[in-house]
Amino acid sequence: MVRGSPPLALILTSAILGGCVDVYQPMTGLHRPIAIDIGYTNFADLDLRVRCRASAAMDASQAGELCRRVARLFENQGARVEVLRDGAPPIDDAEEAAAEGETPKAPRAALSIEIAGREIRRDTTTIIPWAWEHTSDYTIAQDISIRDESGFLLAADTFVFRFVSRIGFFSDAEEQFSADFYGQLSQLALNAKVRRRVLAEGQARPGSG
Amino acid sequence: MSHRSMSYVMPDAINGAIGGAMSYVIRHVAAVACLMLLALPVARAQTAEQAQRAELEELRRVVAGEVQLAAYDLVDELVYRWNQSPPFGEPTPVIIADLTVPVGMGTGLAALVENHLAKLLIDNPQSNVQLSACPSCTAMLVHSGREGTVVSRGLDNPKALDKVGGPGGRHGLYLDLAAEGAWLVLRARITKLTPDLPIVYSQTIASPVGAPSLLRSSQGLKSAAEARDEYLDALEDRGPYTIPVKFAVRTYAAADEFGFPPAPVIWLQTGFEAALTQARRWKADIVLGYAWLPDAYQGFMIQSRMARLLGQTRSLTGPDVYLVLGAALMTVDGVAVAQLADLGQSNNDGTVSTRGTFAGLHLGLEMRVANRVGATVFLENMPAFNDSDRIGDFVDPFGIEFHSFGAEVSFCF
Amino acid sequence: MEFWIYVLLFSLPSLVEYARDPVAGPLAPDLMAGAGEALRGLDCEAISHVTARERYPGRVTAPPPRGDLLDRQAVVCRARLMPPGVRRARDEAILGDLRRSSEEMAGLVAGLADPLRERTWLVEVYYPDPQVAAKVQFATKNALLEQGVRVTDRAPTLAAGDVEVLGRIDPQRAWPLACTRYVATDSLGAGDALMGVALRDRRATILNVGYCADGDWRWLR
Repeated sequence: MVRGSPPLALILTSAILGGCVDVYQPMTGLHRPIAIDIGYTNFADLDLRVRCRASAAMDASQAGELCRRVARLFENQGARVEVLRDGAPPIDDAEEAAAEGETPKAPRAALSIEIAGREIRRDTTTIIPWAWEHTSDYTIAQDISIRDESGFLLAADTFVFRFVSRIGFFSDAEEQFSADFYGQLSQLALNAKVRRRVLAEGQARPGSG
Repeated sequence: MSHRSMSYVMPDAINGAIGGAMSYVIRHVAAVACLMLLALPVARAQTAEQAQRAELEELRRVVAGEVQLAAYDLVDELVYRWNQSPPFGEPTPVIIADLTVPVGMGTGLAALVENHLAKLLIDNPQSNVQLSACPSCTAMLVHSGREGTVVSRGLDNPKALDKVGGPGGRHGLYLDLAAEGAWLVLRARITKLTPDLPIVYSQTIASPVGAPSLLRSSQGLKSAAEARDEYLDALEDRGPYTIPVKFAVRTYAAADEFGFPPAPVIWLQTGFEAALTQARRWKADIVLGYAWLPDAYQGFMIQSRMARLLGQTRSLTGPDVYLVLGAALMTVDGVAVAQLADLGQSNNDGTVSTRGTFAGLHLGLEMRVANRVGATVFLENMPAFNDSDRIGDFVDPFGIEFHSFGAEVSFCF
Repeated sequence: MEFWIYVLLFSLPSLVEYARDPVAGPLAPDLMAGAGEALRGLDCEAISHVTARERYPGRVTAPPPRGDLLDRQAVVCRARLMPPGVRRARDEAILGDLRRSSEEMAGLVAGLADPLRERTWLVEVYYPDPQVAAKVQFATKNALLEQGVRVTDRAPTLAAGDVEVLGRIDPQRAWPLACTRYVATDSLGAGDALMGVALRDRRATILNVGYCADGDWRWLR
C-alpha cells in the first residue's frame, strides 16, 4: 500500500471545501467476486428465516433494522422471509405445522440465516467529554451462518470491513458496502441452497444409481 | 458494421446526384446523414470496447511480467526438491505433456517457463528427470478399436500411442500454474504412460504475491532458505567487518609569505572498518598509516572516521556515496615537508628539526562500489596551522581554513 | 499560546504518522476519486502491532521507547494476483479459493470407508469453461494424491449416443445415469471409482462433489 502524495493545493482545497466523509475498506470476503444477479428471483422456492444477533458491534435496534433490510433483499428475490427475534429458539417446521393443525404441504427449501457482528477495533476521539465522541475508524467482522431445517450447517463465512472518517468531498461508502454485503449474502444463500439440494438428492437415493 | 452500411449507401446517393434529381439527392444525403448519426454511438461503443479490450490485454501483459519471476522461483523450488528427493531411482526420460498458465494469461508465459524448466533439468541431472521429446505424444491420433473410434492426444491414449511407436512406458510431466487470490500456485504431476495412466508423483508449491524473487542460479540449485541467506549475505556484504587498504595523498596549500607548499605526502594506510548498522548506512574505521619517500620524508599517522550513507539504501550494483568526517594525528619528518615541522625543535646533533606532529580534521565524500573498492576526496583543517605563515588554505568557508586537500583509493578485504 | 505550541510539539509525531495512513490520512492520494477502487484489489487482515512486529520484522516500526500517543494496529494487505475484471467473476471466485476447496473435496473422498478409498480414482470435472475445468481437475488430483489416494489420469469414456442422451437431461439424473453407463461399458472397472466435481448451478460459486462406484452414484457435498 505504497502510494504517492497528492499536490498540496489539493489537500488544502479539500480541507477548506470538504468535510468528514467515510471511506469503506472491504478487508475479507466482501469484495470476493459473485456470480449471482440479485435483480432476479433467485429464491422463488425458498422459505427463509433471518436472525440478527445484537452485540457490541450492533445494538438491538440496529440488528432489527439490518434484519428488516435483509428480509427485503430476499423477498425481492422471491423468497418467503420470516425475521426471528434475537434470542428466540429455532422453530421446527413439523412442530409448527402440527401446532397450527395444518397438513404438511409440498416441501419447500427452508434455510435459516444468522448474522452476528463482532467489533474488532474502534477508534474514538472525545471532542466534548461525556457529550460528544467521534468514531474515526472502526473494523467490524460479521459472521454469517446458514443452516437447513435440521440445523445442518450448509454455509458459513466471515466478512470483515473497515470504515474510516477522513477529509473529503463526497462518499459512497454506504452504497458500496451495501452492494458488497447484500451481494455476498445472496451468493452465500444461493450456495447454501444448491448444497442443500445436492445433499437432499444424495439422501433420496441411498445406495442407488 | 457502421462503416459497411455507409459504404453501401454512399454510391446510391452519388448516382442520384448524377441523375439530376435534386430531391432524390437531398433525401439520400439526409438518409446518409441520419445513418451516420445513428452509427456514431455504435462507432463510439466499438471504440470504447476496443479500448477496453486493449486495456485488458495490457493489464494481462503487466500481470504476466510480474508473475514470470515468481513462476521461475516455483519451478526452481520444484527442481530443487527433485534434487533432494528424486522422483525416480535412476535417470528416467520424461516428456513435458502439458504446461498451463493462469486462466486469463497468454501462452507466452508457458513457453518461457518451459524453457526455464528445460535449462534447469539439463543443469541438474541429479534430479533423475531427463527431458525427452515425443512428437507423437502431443499429436492428435485417431484410433479405431472395440470401443469405437477415438480421437485424442497420443498421451491420453497410450494404446493408440503404442501402435504408432510411442514412448513405451515413459513418463509424462504435467505442470500447471494457477493464480489463486494472492497466491501463485505450481502443481506438478508425473504420469506413467501405460494404458492405466497411473499418477506416480505429485507436488503442489505456492508462493504469495509480493514475496521477493530469489533469482536462484540454475547450476548448483540451492534451497529457498540457502538462497535467502545468500541474498542477505549480499545485502550485508558478508559480515559487518572489513579490512581496508588505502593509498592516500595529501596536498597542502602554500602560504602567501612562503611561496611554495610542502611536498604532497603519500600514505599507505590499513586498519579496521565496521558497519554500525546492518544496512551499512553508518560505518566507522580506524587506520594506521605510513609515508616514506627517500630523501624527502617519512611519516606515521593514526586516523579515525565516521561515514554516513547519502540516500536510504545501498545499491547492490551501483556505487554508493558516503559523507565522511574524520580526525587524524600525523607526524612527518623530512626536508620536503619542512614547513610542517614544529618550530624551535632541534635534533640531537644541534641541527634544526624537520619533524612536525599535528592533528587534522577532515570532511569529504567517499564513493564505494559493492563494498569492495572506494575513492575519497576530502578537505582537511589542521588547527596547528590556523593563521600560519608557513601553510596557507585552499578554501575557508565560515572561517574554517582547509589547509590540505586529499584523495585516496581504498580496497576492502 | 505556549500551551498550544507544547500540544502541537507533543502531537506532531502522531500527526505525521496519521497523515501517512493510506486509507485515513489526509495525504492519502485519492481524495477525489474515492479510495474504494484501489482497496478492492487487496485482501487485508487487521492484526495487533505486536503480532505485526513478529511477522514482519524490519517492516513494521517499533513503538517509540518513551511511550506512544497512538493506539497502533497493523493492517496487512496482499494484492490479488489477477486484477478485478480480468477473469469472469464466477471463474475468479472458484479459482481464487481452489487450494482450500480442492483439499476439502479430496478430503471427502479420502474420508470414505476403506474398500472404496483403496480403489484407483478417476477424476471428472463439469464446469462451463474447459480451462477452469482443467485447473480444478489438476488441483483435485494433486489434493487426492497428497491425501494418499491412488489416482489415475485415465478419463472415463462414453459412446457418442450416451453423450447425446446425457447432454439432454438435467444434472440430477445425468450423473447417476452416466455412472451406470461407465460401469456397463467397462470404462470404470471393479477396482476403479470416479470422483465427479460439478458446478450444479451457474449462479453458484461452489463446486459439488459426488462419486461413482459399482454403478452407484452418490453426492458427497
